[in-house]
Amino acid sequence: MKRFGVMRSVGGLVWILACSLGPAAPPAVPISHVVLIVGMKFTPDMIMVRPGDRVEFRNTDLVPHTVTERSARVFDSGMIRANTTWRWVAGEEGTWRYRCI
Amino acid sequence: MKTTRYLTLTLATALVTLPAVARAQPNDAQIAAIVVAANQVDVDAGRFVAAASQSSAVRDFATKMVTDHTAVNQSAVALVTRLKVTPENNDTSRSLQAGGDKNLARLRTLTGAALDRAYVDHEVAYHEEVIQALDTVLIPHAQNAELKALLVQVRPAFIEHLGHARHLQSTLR
Repeated sequence: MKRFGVMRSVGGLVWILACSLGPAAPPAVPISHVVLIVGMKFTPDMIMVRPGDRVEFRNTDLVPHTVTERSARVFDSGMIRANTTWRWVAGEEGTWRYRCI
Repeated sequence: MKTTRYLTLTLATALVTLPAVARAQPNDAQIAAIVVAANQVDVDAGRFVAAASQSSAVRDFATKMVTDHTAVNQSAVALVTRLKVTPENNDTSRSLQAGGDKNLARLRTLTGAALDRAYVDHEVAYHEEVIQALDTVLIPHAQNAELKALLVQVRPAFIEHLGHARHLQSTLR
């Protein structure tokens, strides 16, 4: 009888753990972001990304720009000519700010 | 020293003053010629200074001017070609070209800090004048919507150039 009680307790613990963990979360689906370069400004001026997210920087200005990550040049587009686009795929999660150098 | 400085600034301003623009009511073909001349003279000066200056900050600025003003001219020429507008030289475009030629001739006689100051002073005055011309004459008188849009679109770049030039000017004093 005592043994049966211990088994019930273990079973209850497993059930509680299973419920608290819930079903495995589906992997995050990469999403696409667009950053416009208009009037010598980036809109938005920062992005939050997850691994695999794609970011498209569209230079709508008449002059070339670079998109250069501010802190440690995590990414650097090189020269993006007027009315052209540069694409970047995030390798890690993070919030990035950028500028034209 | 202050007098010399004042004269340098005055000369720089005189070289890029656009008196004809203030009175003119140019048509689109004339505006196209003014835009091309205004950009080309800055490209010419920038090319010389990018190669001749001893200052990395001044060389970087000059290189940026070459890159940006070349790009603006490419867009402007592509647009007027598509619109079948042939740039028409006029007093303003000729004045701009003559002023640019004089500026370049003067820069060629200078070296070191004197070259840097003369170039940057001229860049400040040049961009102030061009922005004023854009605001008071070129944009208001442009008839074609696409040409007007191009002039509006280029303005922020000229503002940024002016800010950069003024900052550089303050470091050269």
